[in-house]
Amino acid sequence: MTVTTVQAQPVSQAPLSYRKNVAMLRGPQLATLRSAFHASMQLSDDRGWQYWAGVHGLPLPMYCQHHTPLFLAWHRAYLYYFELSLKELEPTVTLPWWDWTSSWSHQVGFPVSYSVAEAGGEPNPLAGGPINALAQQQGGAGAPDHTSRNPDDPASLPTAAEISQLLGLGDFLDFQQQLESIHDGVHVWSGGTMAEIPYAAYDPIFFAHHCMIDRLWRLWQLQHPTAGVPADLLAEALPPFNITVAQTLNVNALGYDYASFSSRTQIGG
Amino acid sequence: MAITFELELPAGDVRPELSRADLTFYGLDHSGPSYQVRVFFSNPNAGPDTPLNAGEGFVGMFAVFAHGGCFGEEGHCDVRPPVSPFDRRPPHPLVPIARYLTVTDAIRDLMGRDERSVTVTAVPVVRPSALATADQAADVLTVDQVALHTFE
Repeated sequence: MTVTTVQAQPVSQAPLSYRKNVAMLRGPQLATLRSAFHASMQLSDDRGWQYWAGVHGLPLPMYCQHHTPLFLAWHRAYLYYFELSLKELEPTVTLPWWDWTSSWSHQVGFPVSYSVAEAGGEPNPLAGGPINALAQQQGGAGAPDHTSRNPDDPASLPTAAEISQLLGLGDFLDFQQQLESIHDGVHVWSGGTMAEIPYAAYDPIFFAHHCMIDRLWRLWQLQHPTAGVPADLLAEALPPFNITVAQTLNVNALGYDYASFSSRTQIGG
Repeated sequence: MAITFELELPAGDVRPELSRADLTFYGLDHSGPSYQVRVFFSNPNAGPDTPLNAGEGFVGMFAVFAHGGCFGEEGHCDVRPPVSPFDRRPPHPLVPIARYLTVTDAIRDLMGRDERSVTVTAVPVVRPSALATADQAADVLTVDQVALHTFE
C-alpha cells in the first residue's frame, strides 16, 4: 500500500491577505468587494449575510462582546470568520478599513463607496440592506426592516491626534477601553441602525468601521510587543466561534495583515 | 437628565505634577438606547445645546453603544448573579459598565489655580436612531459613582 503524505505549508510561507484602506481601493478591487457582499446577501442560509449580521445582534442570542475584556478579541474573531465566508464567494476579497480620522472622512463622513446608491448600474450592496424577518419580529413594533444612517457632523469624527495618543498607551486594558470608547462614538455618530447593537452589523459599513478598530489593535501590538492581553483572558472562548483569545493575538496566523494599498500580480502558473 | 455634582480635587502641600487625570463614571446602564455623555466643568446650566468648547467648560465626551432595549421575554434582561461558585458562564451582558474620560489639561488648570473642587455636569444626549428618539435622554444616564484618578 502506498501512503501519500501531504506536507502542510508553513504558515509563514502562505501568502497573507492584506486588508486595505477603503479610500485606496482600485476599481477592480471595489468590484470584487461589492461582488462578495452581493453574493453573500443572496444566500439565505448560515453562509450568508443575514446570518453573519445576526451573529452580532438580533435575532437572539446576541453574541457580541461589548464593554467586556473580550471586546477586541471577539470582534477580531467575528471579522475573521465573516471574511472567510466572503472568500468562499470571492477568493481574493478582503475586508477594507475606513479611516475615520482622515481629512477626507472629516469632510465627507462615510466612504463614498459605501454611500452611493448604485455602482456599475446595479444597487450598491455596500450602501445597506434589508434586516431579516426574525430580527424584525424580535425587535417588536417599530423595528427597522432596512438599514438606515443619520450621520453627525463629519468634523466631529475622531482625530489622528486622538489615535496617536491612544496608541501610546502601554497597558492593554487601558488601551482597549479607550479604543472601545472611540468605537462607541463612531457608532453613535453614524446614527440609524449603526447606532444600536441589535441592528448595527446589518449595515456593511459596520465591517469597515470594525476593520479600522482591529487595525488599530494591530498597530498597538506592533508598538508594544511586550505588552499583552492579561494571562487570565487567554484561554477564554469566543462563542460562537471555535477560537480562543490567545488564538486571535497573531493576525498573521489568521492569514492577514493591514496595508494602505496592496496589489498582487501572478507571474507564471 | 443631566447630573451635576461637586468633585474634590487633589489638595495638600505636596501636589505632584500630573501626567494624567481620569474622570471615571461607574454604574452606567447600557440596556437602552445608545447615548453620548458630554462633560462640563463649572457650568451647572449646561444642556444638550451648549456649545462644545472650553469657554463653556466642556472638557470631553464619551459615548455608550448600547443594546436598544430588551428583545426577550420577561426577565431576559434582568442582570442575573452567578447561580453557584461553579458558574463558569460569563457575566450577564447588561452588568452596568464604567467609562472614563481623560481630563488631564482641565484638572491641571484647576490645580494651577489652587482650586479645591469643581462642579461637574454630565449631559446625556440621545441621537435619533433606528430604536431611539432624542427625548429618551431624559432617563438614559444612571451613575452610581464618579471618581477622579490622577497619576504622576
